[in-house]
This record gives sequence, C-alpha cells and structure tokens, in this order.
Amino acid sequence: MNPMKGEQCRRRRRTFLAIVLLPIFFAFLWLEVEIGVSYTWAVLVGYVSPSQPDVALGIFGAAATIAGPMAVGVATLKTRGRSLSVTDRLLRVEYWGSVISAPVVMLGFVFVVMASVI
Amino acid sequence: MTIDTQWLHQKRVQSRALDSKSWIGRWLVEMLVGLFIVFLMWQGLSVWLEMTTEITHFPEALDSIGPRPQGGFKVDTAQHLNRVQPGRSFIDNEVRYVGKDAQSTGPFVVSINPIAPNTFSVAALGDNGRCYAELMHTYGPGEEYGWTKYAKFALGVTCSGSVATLATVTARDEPQ
Repeated sequence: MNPMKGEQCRRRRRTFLAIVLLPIFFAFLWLEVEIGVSYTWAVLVGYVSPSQPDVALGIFGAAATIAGPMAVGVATLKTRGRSLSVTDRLLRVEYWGSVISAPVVMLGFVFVVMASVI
Repeated sequence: MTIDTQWLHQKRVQSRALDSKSWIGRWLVEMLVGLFIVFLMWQGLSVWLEMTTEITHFPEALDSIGPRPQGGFKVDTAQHLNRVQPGRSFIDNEVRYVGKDAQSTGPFVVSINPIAPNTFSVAALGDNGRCYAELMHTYGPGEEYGWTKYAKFALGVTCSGSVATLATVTARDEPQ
C-alpha cells in the first residue's frame, strides 16, 4: 500500500470534514449570539414592570453570548504556533466553536420552548 | 557549550513550520476568524438596537377598562374599577385606579377621567417616566360605534386623567 496515497486520503477527508462543519459552526455561533443578546437584553432592559432588571442573569447571558466567540479566538491563537495546516487549524477552530456554542444554543431553545408552553 | 533542551528544539521546529508557509497560509485562519467575529459583533449589536427601538413603554393597564358599560362610562368610578379589576385576566397584575386629579405613579396606577357618558380617558405613567393616555369615545343610536385615541405626553407633565382630554389625546396609533 502506498503511504502517500493514505496520507492524501486522510487530507481529503479532513478537508471534506472542515467544509461540512463550516455551516454548522457558523449556524451555532450565530444562533448563540442572537439568543444570548436577546436573553441578556430581556433580563436587563426589556423586563416587564413592576419586575426589576436581573443583573446576575444578565451576566450569565453575556457570558453565554461570548463563550463561543471566545473559544474560537482562543483556538485560533493556540493553534497559531503549531505546525498545523490551514485545514487542521480550521477544523480545531470549528470544533471548539461548535462544542462550546452548541449547549448554549440548546439551552436557548429549551427556554424558548418552555416560554411558549407556559 | 550547547544547550539542547526539548522546548528550544520544539520552538525552532514551530517557527520553521510557520516560516515555510506563505503569507496567506499564515494568516488565512486569523482573517476568517476575525471577519466572522466582526460579523457576530455586528449581529449582536443589531439585535440589541432593534429590541431597544421596538420595545413599547405604553402601560398595558390603560387597555384594562374594557368596553363601555350599559349605563355609560360614568359608571366606571375608581372604587368600582378597583373592586372589579376588569383587566386582571390579561394583565396578570393588580391595577390601582385613582380619580382624575390624582397622579399616576407607575404603569399599574391608572388615573381615570369619565369626561361624558360616552367619553372616557385614562392616563398612566410609563416605565420610561413618560405619561401615556388613552381616550375612548362611543357614538351611534345604541352607542355601538366608537374610536380610541392615544397620547404620549412630554416629560414632566402631571400624569393625571384631567390632562387627557379630547384636545390633548389625538393620536390614532398606540405610542411606544
């Protein structure tokens, strides 16, 4: 078996994975920011009187909003020094971005569903 | 004398690997991530501004009076409304109704002004500190027709039912 062929195949597979993950990563991050900002706004500004703004929940919302973009930034910086190809770096950035933002997005969906049921 | 430690060696390998890449190869990921983060910041800011502009400060308690009673709006006294709480089911909060000369001190304190049997106005202080008013008027043989008008007064206006008259409450749409 030709070892070069195997390496080429792995590279192709990684490129394919990076391309497939890109829209998922994009959607998760985008949804995380949209949901997070809406939630933070709702607890800090859009509360219904006579309620009061909830600072603790506001901080939680802000943290949840920036968690994904922060993970992406950190992954970008951490992979910079290593001898990784562009595809591998993109894969790691996509992976960390999706892994961190996915639970936030899911939690947001649960909140939305709960609010609509109540 | 040579110092050949593991970390020094690794650093050399890494920097060599970086040097061997083209300018695009070295900065492509940073550029993509940077652009994406700028896009996300713009989206977040847009959502925040959009929600801030679209929020309504109109006190929902102003809509709590309901339709004209059989005996005309004069029946709707503060005592009667405080007892009946007509909007309780959809406001989900108790509303305190006060006379036309008493000031509203918040979104759930409504100053009522029964101007005539077929004309009734209410005023309440919004959570933005502005005074909002609503005026209902009915007409026709059986008082079956009617219209509602709205007002948002300037800051500092005494927020009582007496300022909500046919002359001052003129807007067709509910102000925000």
